[in-house]
Amino acid sequence: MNLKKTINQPFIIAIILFVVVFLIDIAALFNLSLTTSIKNVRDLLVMSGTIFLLIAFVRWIQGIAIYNEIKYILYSYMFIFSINYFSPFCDRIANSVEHIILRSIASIVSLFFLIFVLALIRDLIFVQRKKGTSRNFNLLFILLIYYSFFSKSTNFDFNFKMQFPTAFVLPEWINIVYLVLTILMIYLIVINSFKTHWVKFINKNEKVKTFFSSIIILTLSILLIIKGKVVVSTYNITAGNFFSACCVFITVYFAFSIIVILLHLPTAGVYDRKVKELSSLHNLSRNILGVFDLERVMKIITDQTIEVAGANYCWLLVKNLGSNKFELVAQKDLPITLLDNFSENPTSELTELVEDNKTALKIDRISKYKLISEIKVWRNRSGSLLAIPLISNEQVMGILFAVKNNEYGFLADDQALLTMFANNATIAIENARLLKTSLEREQYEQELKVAHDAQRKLLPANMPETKTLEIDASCITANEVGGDYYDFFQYDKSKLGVIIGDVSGKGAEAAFYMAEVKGVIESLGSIYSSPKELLIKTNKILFNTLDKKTFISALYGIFDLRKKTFTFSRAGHCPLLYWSKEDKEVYLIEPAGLALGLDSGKNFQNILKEEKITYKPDDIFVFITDGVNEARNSDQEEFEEQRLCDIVFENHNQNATAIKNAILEKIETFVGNQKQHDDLTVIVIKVK
Amino acid sequence: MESFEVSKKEDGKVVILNIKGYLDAHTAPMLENELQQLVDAGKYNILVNFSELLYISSAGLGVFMGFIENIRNNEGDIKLSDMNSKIYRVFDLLGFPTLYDIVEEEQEALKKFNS
Repeated sequence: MNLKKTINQPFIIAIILFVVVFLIDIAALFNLSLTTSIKNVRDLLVMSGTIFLLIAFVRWIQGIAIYNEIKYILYSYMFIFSINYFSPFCDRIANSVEHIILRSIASIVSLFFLIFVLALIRDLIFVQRKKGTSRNFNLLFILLIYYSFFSKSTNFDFNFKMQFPTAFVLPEWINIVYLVLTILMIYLIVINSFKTHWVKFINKNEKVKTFFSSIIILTLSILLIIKGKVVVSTYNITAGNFFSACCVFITVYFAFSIIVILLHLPTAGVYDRKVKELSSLHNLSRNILGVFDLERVMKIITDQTIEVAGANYCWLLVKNLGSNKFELVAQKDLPITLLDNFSENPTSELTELVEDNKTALKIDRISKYKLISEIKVWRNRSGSLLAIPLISNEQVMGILFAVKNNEYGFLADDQALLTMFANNATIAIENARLLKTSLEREQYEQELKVAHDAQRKLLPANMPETKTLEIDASCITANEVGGDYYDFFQYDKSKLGVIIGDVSGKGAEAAFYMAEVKGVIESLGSIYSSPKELLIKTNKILFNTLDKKTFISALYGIFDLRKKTFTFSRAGHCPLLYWSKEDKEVYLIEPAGLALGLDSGKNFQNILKEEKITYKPDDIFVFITDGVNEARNSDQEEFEEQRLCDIVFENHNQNATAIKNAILEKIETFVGNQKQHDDLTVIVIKVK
Repeated sequence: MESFEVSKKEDGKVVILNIKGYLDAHTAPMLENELQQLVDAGKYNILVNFSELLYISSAGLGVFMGFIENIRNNEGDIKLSDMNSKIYRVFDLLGFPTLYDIVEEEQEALKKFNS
């Protein structure tokens, strides 16, 4: 109810009209002769005020709960009754200003509340609005106004004698018209009184209260009709008639309401329960589909079990995926002694029984139940118990328990309802678990993507340009980042460093270690001119930072373009393929060496050897990672170095890029549609 | 996915692990669990028989690295035996033979443990 709406135009007009009427009354007191027409004007003013009041109220009372409307009707009507029934102002002739003021106020207040009641009844009628609803009510209101004007009796009676204050005589048949209109009014009173659909929308408790309220209203109404002479009728006969007619309408309406409520009362409990079931289902499905907030769904389920099934306390156990044990996830009103018991050991004989049977367990009389000894604990305070399993993939993933204090507390209906709750809980739990798994997977995939990107960025974007060497390289990453790495370092115009390596870890970790290797070699490469020394130093640094399980195989070497030599050391990496044009032969060169990060330093230093090759034009160097020689075909055969040697032998006349492509193509053909399981890197360097 | 199995038997103070199938990043945690259990139980003399292993990746090799330091500190050892040439090649390339006692046959390793 908004105050701005309250002070609306019809309301102001109504107030003005009543003030004018008041002024006319004052004028009458001072013996200003009032003509009949002035009296009629006064009638019109009062009734117009009434109409405007109704319009104002109709606008005002929208959106009030049905039961509150009944309460307002009751209070308003009691107020109207007390003013009109016990009022001392029923004397027709006003003989003082004081009298007029008090009578006017009492009458206007009465009319005010009467119209309020009428507007509330209109709202009740409009609860189930149909095509004719509005028409029927408006017509009734018009006929009530009509009746007020033309029945000049103070009592509600059927005296249709026209007393229209005119000089000319009206024909007799006009009374028949009035009779017809009055019968129509009575008919409409009855028609409107049938509109009691609002009874369906209040709950049992409210129905009972409304029933008694209606009886009070009915009684007061009848008393007012019997008394007949009310304050309003002394204020204005027309308004008095209107008042009486309204009383009749209210009497009939509430008589009907009482009957309808009486008819509805026996089924009210069931009706309420169905409404609750529906709303709880709605609530559950909204939460299950929308929020994925498992705790909230569990809480709703236990709350609804209490509210809808009328259990005294309940709890929900769900099996933990890791420990495979039942855990208490939600409870409502669970006695503290039991709660302590559960948090320590929720898996009991009872849960085992339900889990084994995979069906609902209903115990009607806990005191007589012999199958489970543990149930003795509850005998003092509990009558009946219902346990419903939450079943997913034919496994009991949880159990919903409800307990009532009285024996035979659970009906078949309750069991169906709780089964429905249990099903909802199952869906919610599964949803939440699925969501968690997919989030984890997404996170893992995201991590892999970051690792892939990082790896890409660590690899050289362009091949180094030298006058005497043709260089090409490719790194094909598997879905799972294996951690292949290669790089070139241009130290000065005549020296080019090459590294190829493989980190044993995977994912982001591998990319991280790769970055570390790159950093170390970039900073130490220009200091140590010997590959062996550089690798010894690198190993020392990496040993301290690498995870125990992680190691890095690497082959590092330096091309001296002036002296035409390649000096390299192999830290546990795949051997170097060297094609010597002079010898017309492919060599696999594998100087002794240990992978980086396996040994703190001494062993590494002792084992590592350095090799020096003096190359000639058209000689070829091929560097690979184990993804090449360990590439597998569908027969689980490995590609092996020998095949690689053959390819280099066959293609030695080609340039570096063509040789590299030949190697990659052969691997691809060899592997076929088998999944690549490791990164695969090939560097081909051909001397011009 | 390729399968991997570990079976365990005891010979005096030595625990022999027979590993079978493919030991890679996916299956490494299985071997890791097995070794962890042995270490937790205070069994530090471990012999790993490779006779039925078909493939080992760098992640598989890493498993042994994760335990060797602790085991040797407790005067135990992980010895490796019965590797086929392909598997041995993987160990050899990385320089593992200088770090681990890799022997031809199970009996030889047992003798070494008991001497």
